[in-house]
Amino acid sequence: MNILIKDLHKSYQINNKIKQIVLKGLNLEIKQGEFCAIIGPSGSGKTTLLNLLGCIDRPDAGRIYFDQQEITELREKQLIQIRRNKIGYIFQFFNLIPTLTALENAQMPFWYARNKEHSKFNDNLSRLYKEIGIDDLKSRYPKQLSGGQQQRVAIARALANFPEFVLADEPTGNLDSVNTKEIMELMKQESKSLKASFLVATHDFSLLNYFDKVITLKDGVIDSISLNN
Amino acid sequence: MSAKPMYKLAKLSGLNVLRNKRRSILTIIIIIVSFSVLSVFAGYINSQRTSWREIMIHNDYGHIQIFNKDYFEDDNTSLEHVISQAEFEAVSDILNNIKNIQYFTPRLNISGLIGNENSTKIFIGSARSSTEEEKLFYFSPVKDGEYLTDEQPYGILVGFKLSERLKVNIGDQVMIMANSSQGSIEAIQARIIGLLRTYSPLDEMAVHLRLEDVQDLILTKSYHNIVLLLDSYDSITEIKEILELQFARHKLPLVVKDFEQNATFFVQVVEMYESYFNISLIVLSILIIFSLINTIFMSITDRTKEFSTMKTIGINNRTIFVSIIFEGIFIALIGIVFGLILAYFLQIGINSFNLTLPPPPGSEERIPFMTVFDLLINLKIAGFFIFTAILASIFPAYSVIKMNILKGLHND
Repeated sequence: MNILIKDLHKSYQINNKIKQIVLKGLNLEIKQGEFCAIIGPSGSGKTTLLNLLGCIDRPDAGRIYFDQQEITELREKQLIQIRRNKIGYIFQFFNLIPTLTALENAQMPFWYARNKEHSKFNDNLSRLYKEIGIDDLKSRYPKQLSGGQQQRVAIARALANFPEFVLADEPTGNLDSVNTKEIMELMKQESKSLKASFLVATHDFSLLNYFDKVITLKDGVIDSISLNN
Repeated sequence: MSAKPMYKLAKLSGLNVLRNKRRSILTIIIIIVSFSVLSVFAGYINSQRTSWREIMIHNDYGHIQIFNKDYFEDDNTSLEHVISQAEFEAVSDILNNIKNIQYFTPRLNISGLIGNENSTKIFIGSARSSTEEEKLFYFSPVKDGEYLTDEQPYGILVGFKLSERLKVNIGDQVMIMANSSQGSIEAIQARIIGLLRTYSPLDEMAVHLRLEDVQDLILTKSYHNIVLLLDSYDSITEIKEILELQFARHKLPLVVKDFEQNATFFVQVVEMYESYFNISLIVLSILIIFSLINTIFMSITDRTKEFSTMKTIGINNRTIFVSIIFEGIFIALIGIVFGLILAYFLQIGINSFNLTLPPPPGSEERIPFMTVFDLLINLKIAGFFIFTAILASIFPAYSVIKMNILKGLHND
């Protein structure tokens, strides 16, 4: 999926008085299959941008296009469809549902898919569980898994329904270096295998080599974009 | 929604209920206690309704009564609208051919004066066949002495309070005066052979007399009503319909009234009990609603991040809404199951201890506190509680739907 962002503005009201402007006319393009990082100091607007692209927040002004479709004006019902069918979301703290097993957590987004799609998603999930190395952990509950294993389940959940665009907010922020490396390689590999665009927010400069494109945000606008060969 | 995701959603909700054990338990206990109380109460009403109904049927009302179609236009002792001897014989032929009818008997109402040389009082009398004691009664209304018998012509029974007012006793002679069908005042000399106890104010005025004696006294061969005893209460509707059809076919000017139409006081008492029950049901339901709202609200407050995550990954609002409603239903179901078990054993216990309640006004005998466990009534209570649980879950579920995803995601 090609993502195009035009003149994006976003601000938040703090205590109903102070208005904090986070994004100030941001423009950006992410091409299909690109594995991108977004970096920048705290408060630079990384998470806000991810939320807007993840269709869980709305901009004050500006446009976001998924391929040719403008999504900023869509109704909540349509945004839910996009979140379910086109976007994968990976959280820093994994955000698994503690009452569901590892398998059920990953299956949950497509509980309501049609039978044909259901089996397609399940096949993909089986492949992911094997590739990610958590095939034998399917029946375990999140509290029975390590941080790295939980993040793997979260990645499987995000990728199970063939997303075209994957957003990851500090996905390795809560992992040790060994798991961080494995998770990064895994995401990179899945980006290629699914031909999905990835946008990963990170503070960890040591990871930047993994990305095709590194976007630096500063004060609510793009400060720089660098490409890795 | 197909069965498979529904099952998964139900599992998720069930596990969430168990996850918040301590919080859920208080509400479950409230439901168990409320359910048991209502079940025992319903069982008591059921027991009272059934036992009093059968007593009233067998001691006075029968399952069905037949009247002249204009009987209810006059006072009940008027001889204007009665069942003639010819009509009675026609009815008898019909009744004898219906197998569900165990017994039938004609009656005649009478009112007048009863007295002796010392005093005279007004009485309300019922002229009956002496066979009623054997064929109809569960419990004899005779407090002392014996019931009407063909061996003692002009033998009567008077209410025990009437006997006190008249200062007479068993074996005493009394004069009975009443208007005849011809308009004259007629009198007979009768002998008191027993005292009645009806557990009603009628004890001050009631007199039971032999049917033949009263027909002689008031110069009639007619009857006011015919009382029918059926094989069971459940046959009433069917027999009533048959009789109405037969009477129409034979052009008999008669009406058929069932027990509830005749025993209006009984129906009112039952309705009063049922309204107490309904009020208790509503009060306890309100208690459950508030308790459930509190439990579910506390539970979802802890899980705002989960709900936001679910929304972020594309779970729709309807699914989340249903999952919360399921949680309410689960809590209610657990409470209902344990409540049902507790209520069942509680009712067995109550019935085995022979507990009694204080006597009603005008009586010295305590009422047995019995309950009849009726699964249907318990299922109705269960259904109402589940409805209550759904109602209580709607508000918290709606608040989750309206919850801001971002706020929830950043809530730890």
